[in-house]
Amino acid sequence: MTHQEVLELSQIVGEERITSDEIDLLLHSGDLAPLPESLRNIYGIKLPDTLVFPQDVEQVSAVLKFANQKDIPVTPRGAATTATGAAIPVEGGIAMDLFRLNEIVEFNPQDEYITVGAGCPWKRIIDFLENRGFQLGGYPSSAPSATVGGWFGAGASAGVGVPQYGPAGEQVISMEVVLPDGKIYNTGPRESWLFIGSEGTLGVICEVTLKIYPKPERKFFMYDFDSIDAGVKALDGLWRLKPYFLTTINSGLASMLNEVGMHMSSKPLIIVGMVGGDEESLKTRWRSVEKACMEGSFLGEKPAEEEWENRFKVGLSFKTLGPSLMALEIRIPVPELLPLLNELEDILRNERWGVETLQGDHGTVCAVIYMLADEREKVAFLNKFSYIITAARLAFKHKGFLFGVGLHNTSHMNALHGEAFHFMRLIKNKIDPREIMNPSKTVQVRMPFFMLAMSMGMMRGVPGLVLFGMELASYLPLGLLRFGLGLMGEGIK
Amino acid sequence: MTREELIHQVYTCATCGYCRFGCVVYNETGLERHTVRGRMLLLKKVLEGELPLDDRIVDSIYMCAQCQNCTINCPTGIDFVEMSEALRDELFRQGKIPDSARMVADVLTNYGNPYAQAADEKGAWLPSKYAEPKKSPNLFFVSCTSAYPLNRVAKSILRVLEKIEYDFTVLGGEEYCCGNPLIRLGEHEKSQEMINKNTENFRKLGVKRIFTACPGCYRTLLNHYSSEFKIQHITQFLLDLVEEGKIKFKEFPKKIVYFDGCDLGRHCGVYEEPRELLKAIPKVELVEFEYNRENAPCCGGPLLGGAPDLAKKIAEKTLREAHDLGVDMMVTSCGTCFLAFMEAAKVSSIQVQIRDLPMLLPPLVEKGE
Ligand SMILES: Cc1cc2nc3c(=O)[nH]c(=O)nc-3n(C[C@H](O)[C@H](O)[C@H](O)COP(=O)(O)OP(=O)(O)OC[C@H]3O[C@@H](n4cnc5c(N)ncnc54)[C@H](O)[C@@H]3O)c2cc1C
Ligand code: SF4
Ligand code: SF4
Repeated sequence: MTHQEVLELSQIVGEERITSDEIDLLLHSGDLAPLPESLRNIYGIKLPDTLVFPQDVEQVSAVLKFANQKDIPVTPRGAATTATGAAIPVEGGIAMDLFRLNEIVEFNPQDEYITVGAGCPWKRIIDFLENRGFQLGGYPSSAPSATVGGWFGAGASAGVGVPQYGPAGEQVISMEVVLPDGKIYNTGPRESWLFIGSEGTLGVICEVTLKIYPKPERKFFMYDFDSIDAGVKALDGLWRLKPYFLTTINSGLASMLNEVGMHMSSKPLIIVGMVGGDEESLKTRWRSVEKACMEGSFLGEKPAEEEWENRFKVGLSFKTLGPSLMALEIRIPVPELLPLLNELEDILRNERWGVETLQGDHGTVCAVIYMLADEREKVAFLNKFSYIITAARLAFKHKGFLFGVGLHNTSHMNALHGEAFHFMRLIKNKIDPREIMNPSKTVQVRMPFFMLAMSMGMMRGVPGLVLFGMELASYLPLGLLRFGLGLMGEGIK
Repeated sequence: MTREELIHQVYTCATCGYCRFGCVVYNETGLERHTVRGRMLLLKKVLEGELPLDDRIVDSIYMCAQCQNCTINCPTGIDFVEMSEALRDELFRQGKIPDSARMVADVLTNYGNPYAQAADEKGAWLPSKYAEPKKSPNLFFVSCTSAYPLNRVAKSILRVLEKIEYDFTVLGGEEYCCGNPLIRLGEHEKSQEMINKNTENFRKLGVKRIFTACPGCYRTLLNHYSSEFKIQHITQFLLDLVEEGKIKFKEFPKKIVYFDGCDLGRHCGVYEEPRELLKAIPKVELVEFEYNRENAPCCGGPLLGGAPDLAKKIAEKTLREAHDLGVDMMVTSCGTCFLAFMEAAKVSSIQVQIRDLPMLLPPLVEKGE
């Protein structure tokens, strides 16, 4: 962007809502995964030219109109808690942080809905509703930071509430979205689906109206199982009972949690969950839970409730053991969890690892594979980074798919969606013909699959050499590298 | 915290951003550089030689109210307040502290209090009968805040103690700053001097029990002074007297919301005593903020010196919430919070009555048996 363009933009949003300070740009250019500098170079990731914090939907619209006229990329950003590179402004341009749209706009307990700004962290809504006797139909377990717009942008298909109420898209009554040309568009429940999971490539979600439910009586359960087989069988029965919360922890994860002071059972699989209802229906549901978990041992309601209280923290609480952590997320049908865990035993035999599953929609689980690492040991870390490609292979093999596309998984789009991928590209071309919205993501292949597979394969085999190559590549003019990769990416498109 | 521990923390940060949730600074500016996550990423770059430790990074470390709300939500248990004390120490040694912090440190070392007031004037507000400290096992440690800008609070306490004919002493002009602000700035040598002078005075008067209305002093007296003294915050001290039957209250039919300051709350874990004290007053209706006790936001007060406009914006948010709760009055038990809210009220259109808890008491107190 030129200096003049940044100036014009600052007139649109106001000087106090824009920064081009290198420090701020740097901090708003990554996401949850610590991406090695060398890999950033390979991808050709640029710093954004500027960072804006629009104050309302009108400002979002004005920024997009301006960017569209000038062909400037815009990448919407929530809390950047995704690890697929989805929120990274790869092509530079404008990083748009939706932080200021963080209000609870309307709470309507009579008609049972709530309207919230896209930048609002989920926990604020959860707390607000809990204090007033209501609950949401779904939210991510990253709720203290993850934003409304970010979760819907990422698909909102696994999390708390989802096993009971289905994918959170079904909770949407309407959305206020700004299209890439700046048009403000109010969707109904059906059209909202177009933007759910679009990872910021079709427009900016500004406000969402969601269904809410009176908070029922709750009952918590925790079981452990002598075999993974028995545990997965129980899980397969449990998700059908539509619990509000359902998660599993394998022994690898339990052992890491114990090392940081928790008191988890060391059996192969632990299941934790919660069901809600009125007194009568709760009794029936509780009996069904007991039946499904017949082969397990009941560990009590209290530890289960503690797990629930701790639900946002569990997955990260042991990170100090790394101190870095690789997290690979795949979505598979419940019965596939057994072969997946068995296969992981073999693949990750030299790693310290564990698995947590979050229940998704339609009997799927989002399996998060955690692996301890130390990013300061660059060669070993690159080696571990290459498990990204292993995760994709495992997902496909186990009849599932990747949890999110973003930047790192774009090359699998064809494999994932087949014909539908071309349909998705058609939609993208129609809505965003100038391709300003979050370019290089999701439907635009940044790095062709063979290239990704090759580099990841080499990272596994000879990470030292890859590191050397990458360091060397970083001395090449970035433009040249990007040009080369871009060409290959274009070919795939 | 050692250098190794500090580095380990930097790499332990999961970049999950949970620390943003209750951070009042971030929630005003929206900048990652004002979050713990942002600072950890910046420090990582500094450690890896990709960024110099320049003014912007130093400022980001100081642009923090040290309220510890971030630690409550952090899944990896990162305690930025502890870290930042170690960092500030290091920056102080390297002469890299920002000008605003430098000025505060200079004022503290030159005047012995953060308000640039003459040290021997510290007892000026006291009635003449307290001019000379007398021997007593009970000491009212007035604090700089209550002695200078807020002697209304100190006077209220004096009136309560006189009403119930309690035996106590005050140091007047011989009371030194507890040392807290200098410790926070990383000036440990100077703060130790103040601690030593105070301790000497306590011993000279035969003091056993010390109570103070300032949570900052309370925290310092508790953690940095000899354990030979029983240290109490004024709310704990008065609650004891209520429970012993030495204090009784008249009715006070008001709807009150209590604000938990960080020093007394998260830093010292005192949440219930102030509430119990308020509930001991007949007809008081006590309500709560959406986020209270360990989840309470910071008032913004610690930033009044370095970033006053920001501090007032932060305080105004709480004023608005209190107003929306429809209370008659918002009560805190911290002078810094009280001042921050008063400053915000001056520039805001929101009308809420604000009181430091002891200010409520003189007309309500009656001597018990
Ligand atoms: C500890 C932890 C637990 C997690 N648990 C879950 C879970 O239970 N379920 C789950 O699904 N995920 C989970 N995740 C992944 C991630 O947190 C979620 O996907 C999250 O909702 C993303 O929100 P965000 O605000 O961080 O979005 P970001 O990462 O900032 O953005 C995600 C995508 O959406 C786009 N986007 C952001 N805001 C908007 C907007 N307003 N309009 C349009 N596009 C936008 C971005 O460009 C990006 O492509 C977890 C992550 C962590 C770290
Ligand atoms: S909450 Fe803790 S782990 Fe998460 S980003 Fe903040 S400091 Fe890091
Ligand atoms: S101590 Fe308070 S102000 Fe400082 S980073 Fe943590 S939450 Fe923010």
